[in-house]
Amino acid sequence: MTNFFTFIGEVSHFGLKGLVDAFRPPFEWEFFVIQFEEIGWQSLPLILAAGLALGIVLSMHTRGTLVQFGAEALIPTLQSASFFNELGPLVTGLLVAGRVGAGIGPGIANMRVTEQIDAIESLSVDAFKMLVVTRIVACIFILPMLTLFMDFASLAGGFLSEYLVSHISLQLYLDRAFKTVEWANFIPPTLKTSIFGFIIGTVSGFFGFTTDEGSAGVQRAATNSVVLSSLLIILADVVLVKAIFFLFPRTAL
Amino acid sequence: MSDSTAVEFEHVFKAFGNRRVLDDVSFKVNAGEALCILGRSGTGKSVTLKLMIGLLKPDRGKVCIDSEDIARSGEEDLSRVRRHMGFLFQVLHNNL
Repeated sequence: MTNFFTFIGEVSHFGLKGLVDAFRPPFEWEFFVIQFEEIGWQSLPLILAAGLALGIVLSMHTRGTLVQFGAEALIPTLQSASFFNELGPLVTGLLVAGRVGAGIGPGIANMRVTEQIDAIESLSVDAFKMLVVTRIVACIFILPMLTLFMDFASLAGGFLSEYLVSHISLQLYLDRAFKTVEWANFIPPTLKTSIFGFIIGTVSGFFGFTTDEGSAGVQRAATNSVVLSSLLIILADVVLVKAIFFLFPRTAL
Repeated sequence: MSDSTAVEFEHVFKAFGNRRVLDDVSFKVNAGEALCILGRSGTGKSVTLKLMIGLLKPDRGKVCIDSEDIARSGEEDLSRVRRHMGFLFQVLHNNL
């Protein structure tokens, strides 16, 4: 039990140090741009494909149920409510945790076991800022953007599915999809993914930066990064949803 | 320690878990002097070098560079010391 709390303390300290160092010059802009491209741009195809597929699947499932009640006109509304409020942010977080977490953790761990981090530090360069802080900051900024792509890809998938079945027009689909959407349903759930990004960057960076077990450590860093990031995202989501309901009571209705 | 001493290890101990790598190591290198450390794999040569530039901290003892004990130095002081040192690693990788 003591080990568990020690571990929680170490990860928390690691993440908070990352946040504090993000505001401390010198700023590693060049590496931030590289991470933005690697974490964000290269995740985009995955996010778009997943969003499109999930949109189609959700539309097919809800149609089967709502048709029984003569409520198929609500399919676009349900689609937008589901994705903007919950599915978009959560699925984006989990997908990025899988793709990026599996890249950051073993990537940094590999640099540790091949003494690249030692080499960087021997040149008086702050390896933590260069390798970890840039990734944490990139994840924080990128997750909300990827969530937007996920949301709109899912709407596109939903429309495609509906169009093939009912030949609904795009205008009518969008009217119904956005009829009940308010800023409070859209902005807070999208922005909460910044916290998912912080979790992914911190957890993956921690396992990579602190490894000291050679190639086995690289493997462990990969597994632990993905598993713990995904778990913490789901747990954090529970708290964040409750916080959003508390701060924006209308979204809970 | 004389003024000409560039590097000095004083009763340095370093262990990783139960494995004691450096056990009461003391030596001195004067400025301009060349020192060669030989030993089989795992005998602590790399650990000695890493202690010398502050990449590792000793469990006990002093590691002095130009009379400054870097075992107790902060990151800023270490950066200053490292700027005057060169370090060549065995294998050069670049994942950056």
